[in-house]
Amino acid sequence: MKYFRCELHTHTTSSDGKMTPEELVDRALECGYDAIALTDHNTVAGVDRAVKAGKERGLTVLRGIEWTTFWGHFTVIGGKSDVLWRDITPDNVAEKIKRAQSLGDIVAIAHPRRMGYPICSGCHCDYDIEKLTGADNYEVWSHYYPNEGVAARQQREQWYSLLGKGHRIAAVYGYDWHNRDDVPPSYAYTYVGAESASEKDILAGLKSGATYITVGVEVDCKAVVGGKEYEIGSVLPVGETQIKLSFERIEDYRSDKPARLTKAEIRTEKGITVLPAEFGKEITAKVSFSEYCTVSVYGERKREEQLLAITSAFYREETDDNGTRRRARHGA
Amino acid sequence: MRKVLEGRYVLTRKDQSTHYKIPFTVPEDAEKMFISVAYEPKYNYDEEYGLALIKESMMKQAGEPLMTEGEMRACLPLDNHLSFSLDSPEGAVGTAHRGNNKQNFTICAESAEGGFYPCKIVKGNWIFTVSVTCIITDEITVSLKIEVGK
Repeated sequence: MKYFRCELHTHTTSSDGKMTPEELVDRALECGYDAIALTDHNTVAGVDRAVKAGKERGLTVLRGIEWTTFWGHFTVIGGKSDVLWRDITPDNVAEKIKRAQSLGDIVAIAHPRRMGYPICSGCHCDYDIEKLTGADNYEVWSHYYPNEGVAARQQREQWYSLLGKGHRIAAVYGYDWHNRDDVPPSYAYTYVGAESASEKDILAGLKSGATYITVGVEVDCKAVVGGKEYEIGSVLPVGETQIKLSFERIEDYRSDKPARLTKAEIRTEKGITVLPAEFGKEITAKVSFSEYCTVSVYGERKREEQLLAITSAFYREETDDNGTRRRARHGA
Repeated sequence: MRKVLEGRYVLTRKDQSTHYKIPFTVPEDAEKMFISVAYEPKYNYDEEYGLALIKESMMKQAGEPLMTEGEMRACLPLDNHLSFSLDSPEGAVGTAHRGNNKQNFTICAESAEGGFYPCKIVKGNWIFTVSVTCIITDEITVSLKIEVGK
């Protein structure tokens, strides 16, 4: 499995974006993406053009929409859903998410802690978060400077809280790309683990939770149980578990690349283990957890220590008191 | 061209987060639909009110300051935001979600603009929906004209 650079939250002139679908595809290729999802507000009017341009120019374009409701936004990727955004209410939102998923779409909670009314009405998630726990993905990072600021911290805390309660929901980044940004602000990537960058495989990677979000560092993260390696998002069998990590600097056009790594944190429901981290050096650590395990990577960037990457979680197979397997949501 | 709807509609603060439906009828033999919609005012230039509303909403939503005073001021003047959707007798024809307060759309079987989908302009009962995403003035007046033709 390989991890592909994706942007899963974009807009065009079919809603309030400034680029045509073709211009978005061209810019995404210039920025080095393997795949993007077009998620215009409440419309798929630009999707066919973007998919066509992607096919002609060599970029996977996933069909999507952003349900831009009064009480929160969701990116819905896959192009199968028949849910009409105007029909979504705080009372039926869980059922609508389930409906879209049952047809084959991936649903992500978009920028849940961003400021909403009166600046960006609907951008803040006013839904009861407990009704959204069936979503596949959660935008832990969003928009410009995604690893900085109060909203970023609150999103991270809410996501960890969901994991701690046993919900299996993968971390994604959403640039919420509206403009061409000739001088790009600092933003992140979602890397999705897949067999190829095809639409089918990227969707499968998003569904399985094989993702990590990053500013400046590629993360190779595997769990090893009983001599077998597992990808991020896997449900691990019970047994002695090691996390194997290595890191490479992302070589792209940005000037604010991390100077060096400082540490990796392995977080489980039991606490945090801190490990030294360096570019190009593999590290392993034994971990014990029964619910979830994620990795955060820190490094020096813009002359300060910053959070640079977060992996989605590994989960533990649930067993009853006799050790019998009970549930596995994401396939291991 | 035949005019099938022309009207002015006043929305108030109590319409925040609601969908205001405007039905109209399309006659036989239409091939194209022309929609012209505008709303006023777009902005609320009262800075004191704007800052107070941002601060109050921010604390309600986040429980702590999400922005500095300077970042809040950069969001002024606050603006009203409406989205527009169209339904034909055969189903949804899309949504126009953008900030402009004056928008024009042409829709026919071969093409459409601004978030709408190409569709046949069939005879029957249609609905134009105004979705009130954000209202920060006491009233918004929406002016809507819909015409059909060949």
